[in-house]
Amino acid sequence: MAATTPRRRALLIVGALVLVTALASSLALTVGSRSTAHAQNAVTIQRAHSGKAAPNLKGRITFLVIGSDSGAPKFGRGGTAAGGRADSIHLVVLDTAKHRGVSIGFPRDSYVPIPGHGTDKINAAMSSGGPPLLISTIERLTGIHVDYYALTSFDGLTDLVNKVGGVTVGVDMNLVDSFSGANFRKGIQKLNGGQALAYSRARHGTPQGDLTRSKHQGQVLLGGLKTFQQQVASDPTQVMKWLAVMHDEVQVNLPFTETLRLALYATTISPGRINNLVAPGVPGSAGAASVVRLQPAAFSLFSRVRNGAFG
Amino acid sequence: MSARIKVLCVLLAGVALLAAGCSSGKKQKDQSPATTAQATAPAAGPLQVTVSTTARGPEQGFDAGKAAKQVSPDIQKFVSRYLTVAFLEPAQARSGYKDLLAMFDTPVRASATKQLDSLSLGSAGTQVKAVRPGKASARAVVLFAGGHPTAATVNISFDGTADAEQGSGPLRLRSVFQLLRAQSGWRIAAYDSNTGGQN
Repeated sequence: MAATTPRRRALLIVGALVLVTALASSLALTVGSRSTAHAQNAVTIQRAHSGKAAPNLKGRITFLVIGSDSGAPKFGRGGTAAGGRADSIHLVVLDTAKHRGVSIGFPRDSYVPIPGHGTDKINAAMSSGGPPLLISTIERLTGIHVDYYALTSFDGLTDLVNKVGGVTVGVDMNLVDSFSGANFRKGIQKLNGGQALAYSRARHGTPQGDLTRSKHQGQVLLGGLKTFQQQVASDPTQVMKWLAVMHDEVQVNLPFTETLRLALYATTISPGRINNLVAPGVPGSAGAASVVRLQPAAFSLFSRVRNGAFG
Repeated sequence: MSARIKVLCVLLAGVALLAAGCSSGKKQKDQSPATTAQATAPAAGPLQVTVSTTARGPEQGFDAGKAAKQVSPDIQKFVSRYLTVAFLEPAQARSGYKDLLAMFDTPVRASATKQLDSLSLGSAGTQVKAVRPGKASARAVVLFAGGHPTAATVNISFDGTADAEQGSGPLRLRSVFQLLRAQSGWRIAAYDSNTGGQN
């Protein structure tokens, strides 16, 4: 640099200054861009929203819930569930638009016309012609079309209840029945499979025998619905558990997709909005057999339900 | 002027030109923040969904581990498709999320149409230019019947960033879907879904 002239030195200084200025400008721009980007992250583009929906099913759905006295090896009952007598018969009618329904229990000894088989106890319809004949019997008796049926056995009910961890039922009386094994104190309680079956079968020591038994069966049914809803509310994956158990323990005549839609719909209907009724009847006899004769009030009930009044 | 001085002058001119270019860019940035947002936004990475699957089936003769392994890619494909049309393709908003709504079972589609904001970018989609996916995961419980997957419950969690004219902002989805397996694939038969809000 000893040979550097003043002009060259001045040029070098100017060059250095321009370079520093350019670098400083670039740096300022970069920092500015980062600041802008940081500020942009603060904007709210998506606001908080919540949404929930279950299948919006159309119109009225009716299904027949049947408990058979056969096809239960654990209880020493051979044969098939569909070939046995229907000891528990409940016609469940749901008004999907109004989210309400009714469960009508039929005392198993109800003495009714069975298409092609004269008049007999209603529980004989299934042993004579399987679920289709029982459905025909109910349809002719009530004038209400049955869409689907669900059939289980003693084994099926006890296994189902045990596999879902028990069902919560509002037991409506102190009840001791050595024949069914029932031994209950009045109040809301969680029943295991054996207890649920015993409560559903007990008729000795009840005020109205077969009619009370049918009412209790409806309570177990609605208790199951309530338990299902409670479990799914706390853990939505429980829907899959219940469907798996139902698939193992209950025979149905509807496609799986419909079963799933119904199960999801069932999460939205309050059990309190399903009226648990029993077709009114009085004890009587037909020859040597004890039977239940349905009363005019039963046919009034069927008529009201046909017309959409579930009270 | 010596050769060294000439070189120095050329260098100085180049630096001056560079500085002028930077100034011009700054002016553009001030006039159009959107250009800056695009320029500064990191490139969108691919959506990667982590899926954990459990299988349920009949008590007898059902290999839950094997079934879960078998169905897991299918669930992952469904969740990826859902998140793509719900969040990563803002143009879906202009079509009314038709592709998204096609993923819903008919009895629940009307509800989904009314609740798109809780299921997707929703109405915000019209102002979003791009979405950068962040963490995405799904936990599924799949029900097998007759040897085939028939239904599933899927918990989905997704976080991302949306870039819009006015800036960038976080996206969030926390959903539970009840799925049924139709002939055409998985369909959402019921849902409980939340978007936005805090993590």
